[in-house]
Amino acid sequence: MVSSSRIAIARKRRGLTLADLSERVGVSLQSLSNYETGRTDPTRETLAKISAALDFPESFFRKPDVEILPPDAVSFRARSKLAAAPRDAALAASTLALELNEWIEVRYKLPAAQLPTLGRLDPEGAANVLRTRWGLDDTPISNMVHLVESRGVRVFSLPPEFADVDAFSFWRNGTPFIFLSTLKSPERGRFDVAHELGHLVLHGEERSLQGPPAEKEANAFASAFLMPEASVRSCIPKSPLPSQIVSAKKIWKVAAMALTYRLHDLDMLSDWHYRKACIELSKQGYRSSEPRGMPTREKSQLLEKVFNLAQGKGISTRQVADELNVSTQELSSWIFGLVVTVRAGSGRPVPPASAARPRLSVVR
Amino acid sequence: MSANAWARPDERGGHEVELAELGLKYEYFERLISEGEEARAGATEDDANNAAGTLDYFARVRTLRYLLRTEEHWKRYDPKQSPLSVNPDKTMAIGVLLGDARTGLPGNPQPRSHRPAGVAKESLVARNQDLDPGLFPLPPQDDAEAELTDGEYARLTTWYLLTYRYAARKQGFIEVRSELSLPSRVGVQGKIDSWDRRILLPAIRFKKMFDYPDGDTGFDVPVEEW
Repeated sequence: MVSSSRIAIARKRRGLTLADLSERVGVSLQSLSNYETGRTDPTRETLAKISAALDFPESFFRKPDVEILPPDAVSFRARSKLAAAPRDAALAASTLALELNEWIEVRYKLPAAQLPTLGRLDPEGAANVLRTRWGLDDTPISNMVHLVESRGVRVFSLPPEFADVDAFSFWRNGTPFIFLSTLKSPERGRFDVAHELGHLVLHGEERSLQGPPAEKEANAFASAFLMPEASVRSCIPKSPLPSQIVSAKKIWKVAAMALTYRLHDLDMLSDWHYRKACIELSKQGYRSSEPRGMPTREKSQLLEKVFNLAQGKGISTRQVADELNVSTQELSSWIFGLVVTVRAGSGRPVPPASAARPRLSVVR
Repeated sequence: MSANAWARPDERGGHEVELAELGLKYEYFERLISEGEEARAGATEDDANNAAGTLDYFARVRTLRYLLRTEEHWKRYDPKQSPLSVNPDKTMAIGVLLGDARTGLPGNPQPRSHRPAGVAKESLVARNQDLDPGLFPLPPQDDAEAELTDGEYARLTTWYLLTYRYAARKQGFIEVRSELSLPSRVGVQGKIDSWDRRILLPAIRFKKMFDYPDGDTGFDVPVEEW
């Protein structure tokens, strides 16, 4: 018995259209369509071809049907600009990553979700309430990924080939998930986590909001959550110079532009000073990258612990991949950039992904 | 007022009122001093020794003239290549000038200009000595560059933003003292050493270091086997 939904999800994961796959497998488009809708089953021979073309083991297609995450369930940042193919590919990858999460949850006890619903508050107020609930006061946050993981959010990465897809988040069976693009600067990664946290607490079931207004709210939330007003006011003089902004960004581990925006928001930079600072910082390269930034991206503490515990029991990453009926390459694409030392079956450490030019390394 | 500025105990803080009488705001001066300080970073070790100071000067002149032109409709004016800003009434001009250690401090002796005044400054200061109090409002022109008739030039009073920069290396800050003052005499060695009016501005301190909190994460994500 072949799961029709798994053919579709594997095809979307690879970013292929039905026509693309039809060409690669040498099966008519109509037949493929029939397999994906479950009208007919592929023959054993055809399934082998599909399996090879999509680089998923045959066993993957014999697992129970899976429901691909609907685009509506997910807060994509630039939804309007994002083409359907990379969007569907990211959703397919994330759907599969949920199977890794299930594998983990069956074996390990993880922190439960402690995310309040704050949709009735404005973003600044919601950020303050969440900080208070989590006992953070106004102190800068040392590690956003560790923080949200300790409060029950599961963090996975977007496969590195989806450079156009920003981070996104959703609730699934009472568990909040954040999928991060790990190709951005470390500071941007932190902001993405805070942004998605904003979506999770502001735009839940009781107050669904999408599109540009939702993105604006999530940005305002992230800005306020990372850079609390009291903390910014106590550390930075009014009308700071670009060099002072660059020095101070390290306090909150944010991008210089993000801090500049926040300072303008808090009326600590007038419109004129704000424009001037933006021009100066752009000239120094702060719009396109983050000079003198954090040396490394934030990693997942949860995934690191899980893989280390598994390793201690003699379970290699390859075995985990086998149990999930995917290649180790597929598995590592879900945790790409979030885990430094997933020890390979051979005992060799996987070299850490370089910050400048990330690449996908195969975990064997 | 910016938190950059700190008022000395002997300062009355009346500068904002005095500046307002001249149609000016303190923030312009604070800004141009800050821009000058920022511009110093552009000098490299291979530059001439005076590069940082020159970049500082360029930025002060540029910011002064830009701010007064865009915010107050003042105009650029360059008699004998001496860069000034002239108010819409053409009764007052402002330039920038380096002072000495007495700059920004009340009382006597009064501060002196760091360098001897050149031809332009000397004649502008001379002009200040026989001020014509009669003001004739003139229609504003659209050109950003001011042109003064001989009569207008005779009525022009020229003020200078006098600054003195001091680096307290051990304490880790730079202090810039300043005043907007009306010079009345070029004294010995050609230095301007006497002032009819002095508006003392708060000294500005630039911190060169921030204290950063430690980067330890402190968040534990408990993971246990069932």
